[in-house]
Amino acid sequence: MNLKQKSASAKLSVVGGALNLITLVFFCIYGAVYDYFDIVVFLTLALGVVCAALYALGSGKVSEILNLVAVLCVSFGVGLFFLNSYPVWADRLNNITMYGSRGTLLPVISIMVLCFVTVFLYIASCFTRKERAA
Amino acid sequence: MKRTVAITRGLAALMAFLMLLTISASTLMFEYAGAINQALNVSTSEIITVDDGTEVDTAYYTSEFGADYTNKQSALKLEMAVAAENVLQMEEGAVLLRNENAALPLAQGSQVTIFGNGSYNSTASASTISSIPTMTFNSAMQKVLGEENVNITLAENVYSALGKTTNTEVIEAPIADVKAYESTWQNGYNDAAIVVLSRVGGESNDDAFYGTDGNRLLGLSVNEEALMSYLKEQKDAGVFGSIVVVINSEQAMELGWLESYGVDACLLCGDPGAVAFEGVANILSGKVNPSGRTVDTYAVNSLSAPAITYASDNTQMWGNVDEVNAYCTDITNGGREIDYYVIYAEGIYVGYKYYETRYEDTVMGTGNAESSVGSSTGSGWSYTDEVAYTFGYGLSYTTFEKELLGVTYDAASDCYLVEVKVTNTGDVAGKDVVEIYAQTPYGDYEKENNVEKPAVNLVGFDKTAELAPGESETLTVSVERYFLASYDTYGAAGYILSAGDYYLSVGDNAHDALNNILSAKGYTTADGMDYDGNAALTYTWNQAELDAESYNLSPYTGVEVTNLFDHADLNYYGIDFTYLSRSDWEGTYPETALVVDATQEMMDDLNLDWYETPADAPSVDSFTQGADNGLTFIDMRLVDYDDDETWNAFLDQFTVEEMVALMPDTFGVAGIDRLGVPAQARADDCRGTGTLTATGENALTWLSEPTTARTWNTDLFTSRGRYMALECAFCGLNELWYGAGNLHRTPFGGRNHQYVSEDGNLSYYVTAYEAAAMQENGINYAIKHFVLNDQESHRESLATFTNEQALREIYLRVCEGGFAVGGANSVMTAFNRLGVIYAATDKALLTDLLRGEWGFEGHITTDGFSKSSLYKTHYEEMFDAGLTFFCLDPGETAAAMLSFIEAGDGYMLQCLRQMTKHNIYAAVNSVSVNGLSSNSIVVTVVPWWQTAMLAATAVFTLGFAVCTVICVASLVSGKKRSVAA
Repeated sequence: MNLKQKSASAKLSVVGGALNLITLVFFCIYGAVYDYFDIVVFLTLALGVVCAALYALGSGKVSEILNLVAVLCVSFGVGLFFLNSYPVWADRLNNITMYGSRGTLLPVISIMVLCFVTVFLYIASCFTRKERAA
Repeated sequence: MKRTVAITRGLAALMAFLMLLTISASTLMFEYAGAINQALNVSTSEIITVDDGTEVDTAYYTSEFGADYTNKQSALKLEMAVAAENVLQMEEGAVLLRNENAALPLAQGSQVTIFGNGSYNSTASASTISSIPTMTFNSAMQKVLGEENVNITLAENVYSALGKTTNTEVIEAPIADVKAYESTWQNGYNDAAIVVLSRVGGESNDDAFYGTDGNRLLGLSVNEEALMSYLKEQKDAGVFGSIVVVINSEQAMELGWLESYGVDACLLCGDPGAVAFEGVANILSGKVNPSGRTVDTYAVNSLSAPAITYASDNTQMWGNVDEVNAYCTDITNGGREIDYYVIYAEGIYVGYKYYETRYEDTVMGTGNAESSVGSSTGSGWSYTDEVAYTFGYGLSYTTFEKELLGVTYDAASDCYLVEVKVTNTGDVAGKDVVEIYAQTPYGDYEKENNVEKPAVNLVGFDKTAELAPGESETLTVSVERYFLASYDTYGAAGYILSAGDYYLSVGDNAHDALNNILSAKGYTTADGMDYDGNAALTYTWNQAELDAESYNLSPYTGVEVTNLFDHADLNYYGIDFTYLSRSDWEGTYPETALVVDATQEMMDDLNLDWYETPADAPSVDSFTQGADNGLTFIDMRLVDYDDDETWNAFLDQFTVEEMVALMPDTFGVAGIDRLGVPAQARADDCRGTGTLTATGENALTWLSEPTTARTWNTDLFTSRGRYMALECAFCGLNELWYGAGNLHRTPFGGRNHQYVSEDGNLSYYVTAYEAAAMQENGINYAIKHFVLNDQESHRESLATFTNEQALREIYLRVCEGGFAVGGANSVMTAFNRLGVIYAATDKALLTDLLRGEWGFEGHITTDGFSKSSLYKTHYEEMFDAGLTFFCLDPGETAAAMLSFIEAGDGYMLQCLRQMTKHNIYAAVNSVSVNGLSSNSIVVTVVPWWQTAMLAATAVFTLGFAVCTVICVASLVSGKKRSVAA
């Protein structure tokens, strides 16, 4: 794959996908260490990577909306991740132990920030044309 | 066309992101709607009254502030009264511990300099009412002494740059920073150096035994030592006339150092809340004469009590923790919630009951009391080496003389009436406290059956009015004979009145009362007493036979009183454990912690998985639900709890879905319009009630609970309960999860500011008076945390072992006053376990004791629920134990209950009906009935924020859909064009 030949949209999707993949790995490690692994979050993030990649590499009309699907996947994933991590927020922000939380806020915030940046890259990709201007 | 695709796709992506963001936020917000409604000051019920010409007064609960809780003037008037009440309570609750050289009160016109980071970074809270200024220590001193007389240079230049002391670190300025400003007190502002020292605990956070500087946290820190040394030098050099220390802490600090640093006076003020520092300033200035008494023992060494061996930093981990983690099912966070235990090895010897009992035994030469075990000095144990200020201690600016006029027994009330004449023998007016302590026999039977007896036990008290110099007042103090009984776990399995000599002693404090008893027994300083007592202040009698009959039935309900908590005792699981006994201090003192391997039976019980549908369970079909019997919520207002016919008729009207809707709580619960049940709101803790409906401001933060207790004034216990109830009503609440239900087992308890004292009986009285006052004003007084939640460290799921005597005479006694005497209608269970049984699943506690013995008719909540804490998800066991609602539960318990009933468990439905009865009973006996009559209709109001969130979600969803359709349409049409071309 020669990125230089790709449009800005595809490049954004590739960069987003790479970040998405890093987030996915980070989430898997976090989930394993702190027992917060959620298969739905995993699948949505993984699907986001696949869609971003197919958008950037694929051709045809169907591929045109795969970055939009990627936005949906990662947005859903980060929303669910946030709901799952509520005990961590509640315990850590109140400096208590009550919600059965595990781990600290740092990895939670890191994963959410990565997800948000990923989504913003995907959204930017959506706003730009896939084919390079002639 | 491609531009259209890109724009619409981008917009669709943006909308999708925002849509899912709002859906996620809405999910969480709707789950915790009650908390959000409170934060936003939103009510979710509206009462509409149909005017049929009849006038009904529906202000069932009202006060001098009226029953219109939306009236701004009334709310502010109430807060002004609350502020004044806080100052008054501090004036009576601050304790003068030391006053040498007439250092206090400060002479008129005195100029003082304020030292100590606690003067600026105190535990005080900011005022939340714009028209009521926050009273910091410095502003209070300036207000009372005059700004021109108070030097707050250090606060402005040094302490303002520091943070607050935490539960692990004492923050105090380096002495060099203090000395940098010494010119400001060399030639003025030096009549007195006033030093404020703070310590703080918090929820989930006990105090560490040692601070980050290596010193004991409740002793002086390194920087505080330097400060005190410097001030002593300055005083010795003639710069300062006196040194006055103010203790701003609810953690009982070590105070054995006062004399060595030349401290002339020491005033204990505890945690003042938003405005009560003014009361402290009033005492220091002499405007008010102090009359408070301690409610804890102030040890020389905070680690010298036997309870320390298993508490806070000394919480123990199972010896076979790996096996526990491998076997047990509720493993979260690597086992954090199942790995720990404590043993209340000290038994009944908590606080003064330990120090005073050991003192008596050293005087009498019994029980190896003089051995070095437990000694802070390493040599033989000596009372004066260990105790700085005992329980019940406090000085005045005047002196009093007490005379025991007589003691009579009143059979009708089953009380001893102790008549005491108090005379003010000094030259300023003041109040005095009459404290009555009992000593009951410790003979062969008790030793053989491990019935322990404290040398003194507070059994009654009263406070005089303000007495002018020379004036006298005779008080008659009631002493419940019940308090003279001891719980005999291993022999009679019930309460006994021992055979032998009984003593009732009037004392200025616990130690003084004991010295009076020792004097009556013929002991003197020649025997090792620190001073001779006054036998004339002691009343004694002999009981010939052991009495195991008088209290074998509950005085409240008549049910048999017998062992209920064998499972809380380590011995129950076959582990041989000996609790501390005065028969052999040396042999039974818990010098080191026992490493316990959880047995198989313990691990089985740790799993909390014992529920099976009873064989005789009714069928689901045997209950009527959804009937129309013409009863609404308000019709149940005056219905007796035991009127089963009416209650069943009312309950028959509920559907299962309506009943389960009352179970989850998020600081409140929605109403049921069909049955006229209004929405309810509840709030957390005795320091503040939340947002005032009328103004949107938070009600004031109260001074700490122990400060109220230190007044030893039952009128003030009542007024705290009353004022807090009125504030609750003005905040739209019908219940306050108050606190007060645990003990200062050690000085390190993170929530000691929320609990009364180290003494069960004093706490019994405080909760009784507060509960009665709150309930009378329509607010459910929820005692928490029921029970044995006396530490915050590892509070989640902590296995807590003790024996039944200690449980009943101390830890349960705290709550008994509130429930059985004060009529509290709500309770919050604890996070910890009794033995290994989670408190919220302990049927012996919640049903047999609370409802059976104490006659509790209200409702029972868990502490904060979380499905992430697996041990809190044993729903069937909790429902069966007697829980009725679930704090901070977004709906898990309701869903669980529905599933059990759908699966055909009729016993669960029976439980649900009982839960509903308790939930409704508590609500209908609260201020929730205000405004309701038979002409009323309750209408649920959807909060504006819910509408806003739903609208935002709808807009984003629609936007996403439209943009996606246009995008796809553009793509498809583009494809067609391309094919055509």
